[in-house]
Amino acid sequence: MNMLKLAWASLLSRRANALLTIFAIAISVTLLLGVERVSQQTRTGFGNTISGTDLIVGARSGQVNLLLFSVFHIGNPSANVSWQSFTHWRDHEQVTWAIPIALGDSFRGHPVIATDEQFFNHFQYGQRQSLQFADGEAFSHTDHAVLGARVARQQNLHIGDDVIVAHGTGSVSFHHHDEDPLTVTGILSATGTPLDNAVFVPLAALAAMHGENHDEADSEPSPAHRPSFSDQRVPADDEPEHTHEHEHEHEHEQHDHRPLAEIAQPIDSISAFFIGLDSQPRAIFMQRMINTWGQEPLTAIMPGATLQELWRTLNMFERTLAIVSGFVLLTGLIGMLATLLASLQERRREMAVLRSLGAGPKTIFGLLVSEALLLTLIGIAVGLGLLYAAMLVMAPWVETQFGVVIHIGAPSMVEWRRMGIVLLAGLIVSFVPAWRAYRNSLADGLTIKV
Amino acid sequence: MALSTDSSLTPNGARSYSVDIRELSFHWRGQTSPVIDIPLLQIPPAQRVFLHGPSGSGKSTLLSLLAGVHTPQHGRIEIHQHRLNELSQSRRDRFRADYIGYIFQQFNLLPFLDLIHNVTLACEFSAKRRQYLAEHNKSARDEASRLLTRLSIAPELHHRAASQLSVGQQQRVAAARALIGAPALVIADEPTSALDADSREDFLQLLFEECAATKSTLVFVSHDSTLASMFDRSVSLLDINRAATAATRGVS
Repeated sequence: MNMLKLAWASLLSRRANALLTIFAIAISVTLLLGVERVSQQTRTGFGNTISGTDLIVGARSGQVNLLLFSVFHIGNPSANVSWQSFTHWRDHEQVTWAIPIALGDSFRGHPVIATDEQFFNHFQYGQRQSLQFADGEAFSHTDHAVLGARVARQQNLHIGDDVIVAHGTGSVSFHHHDEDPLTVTGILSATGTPLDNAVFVPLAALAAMHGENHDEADSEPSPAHRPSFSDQRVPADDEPEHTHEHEHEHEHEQHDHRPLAEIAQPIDSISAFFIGLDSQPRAIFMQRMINTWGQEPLTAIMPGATLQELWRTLNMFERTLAIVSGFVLLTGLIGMLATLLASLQERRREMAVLRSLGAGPKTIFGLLVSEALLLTLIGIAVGLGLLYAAMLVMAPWVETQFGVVIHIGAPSMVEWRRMGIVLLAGLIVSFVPAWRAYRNSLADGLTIKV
Repeated sequence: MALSTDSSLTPNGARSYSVDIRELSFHWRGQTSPVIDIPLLQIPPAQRVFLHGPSGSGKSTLLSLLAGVHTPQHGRIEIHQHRLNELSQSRRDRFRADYIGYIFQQFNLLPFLDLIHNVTLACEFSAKRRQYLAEHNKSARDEASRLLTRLSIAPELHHRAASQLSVGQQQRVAAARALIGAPALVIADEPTSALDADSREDFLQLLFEECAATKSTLVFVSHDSTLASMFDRSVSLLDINRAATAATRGVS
């Protein structure tokens, strides 16, 4: 039986205290590693969500807000961008492609993205990967819809099925656009981004649902007057607009089956648009041009730069969390110190017996260090286990809520280093009781102090 | 009890002792007057010595000097040709593991280990005891089991935790631990003081038998002078320790 076995047997005899100590260390390890995990996963998850887009343009607002609602479907646009502004910049000589998106509606809790076929042609994620269709093809009529991979899986929808889009973004909506069922024409392959959770509909379909009427002549709306299509013309039985809507019903029917190619202006205003440029280095000039444009107040952002800004905000948060977990670790270690120190008094007999058997003071020192190391090691292992258990439980929820896929991989270098630091801290803390025991055993010799 | 004089002679004919103390003097750190001042104490091998004296006469101190836990400031203390006063602390620890079996007054056992492991623990710290067992083709566990049975601990108790035993049983387990691997010197520090009169004599008989079997010297400390007649020799600290004579007589 070596020192480690003896330490183990001794710990087992004090298992209530030992378990509490292990638990305290485990929780701090889970926190320390969890903070690191969450930040890494968020970074890679968010970083992989958009690629190849040089600029994102929306109505004048905060940069992070624009990025969050346009790419991650978190939050809402504060105002809209008029279709005229969009076409102005789409047709700019530097611009290779432009994708309009209009947000704000939902289908059974999944966000609805109204866009055009440019989205499927040009939008890229991850390492410049384009969108692929797992089944079917892009929409070509106003009553078509395309589903993200997870939407199709969760709602068990296939090509040819009908979807009914609801007003607003909640999973429980008060108003459904019951009159406007759309037919699924395509299902995207999984991307591991928020797109998996989205339903794609043509802009014209969204406009039709909200009662917009686009004949070529009638389309010269003043841009700033429509804050959100979701708020436009919500039918209510006793409002005059109700009758207005019914007046248009006839035209409505006509629009429902129009091929998208025939529509010049599908909608009055959009939430934002993505831009791909001829030359990426020009993005900064384009950004300034758009930001200082006189005709409509717009905000243009470079996704990478704004992500960096987001990380800087999150960094502070992360650092605070890391500091808090550091203190939790400290508490755990102090708990272990207190437990070991308290046990020394009642173990003076044990030490005297070991001394009588030929154990030197150094062996006694080693015994106490072994005990602390065992406690710390088990604490680290349990903490790691808790972390993986938490990830397994949380992963599906995070994926639904934020569209970020959590990869449950082996611990990273940073995580190994943090565990190493915990072990080292445990070792250093153990020197205190070990030194006390060393001194005691020298002073007590073979006399048993009771 | 007849001593084997052959075994107590060195090859050159000089008499060898299990314990050989000359002009030994020890004082605690920070004090000037010695608690131990023994001009001469010689114990031949395999002798059973009854060591007695009032409290404060230096019994415990002498035992810790014999066990090599403390070192004297002056004089010589030699156990089986090892001069303890010249060894480093870690060498003395190893010496104690190899040559000395120690039995405390009480609380001898680690409560979280079973009896077998409590006994074999003595071999963990001593290469010499393991070697002795290996030479006699015994495993530590078998020998522990044999000794425990010899000391009237029923085999079904051998795997019980030490904390479940009576005090008398615990002292016998402690004796088994002190004796395993045949150490040269067994030191017993009032091992019977917690036992009643009957079990006291039983314990002593068993201890004597096993010491005789391993040819171990026994130094037995007790207040109880009624036991003295069972030993080969009775030594009073008041007679051999000049420091005790002065101090204790001054107090009493």
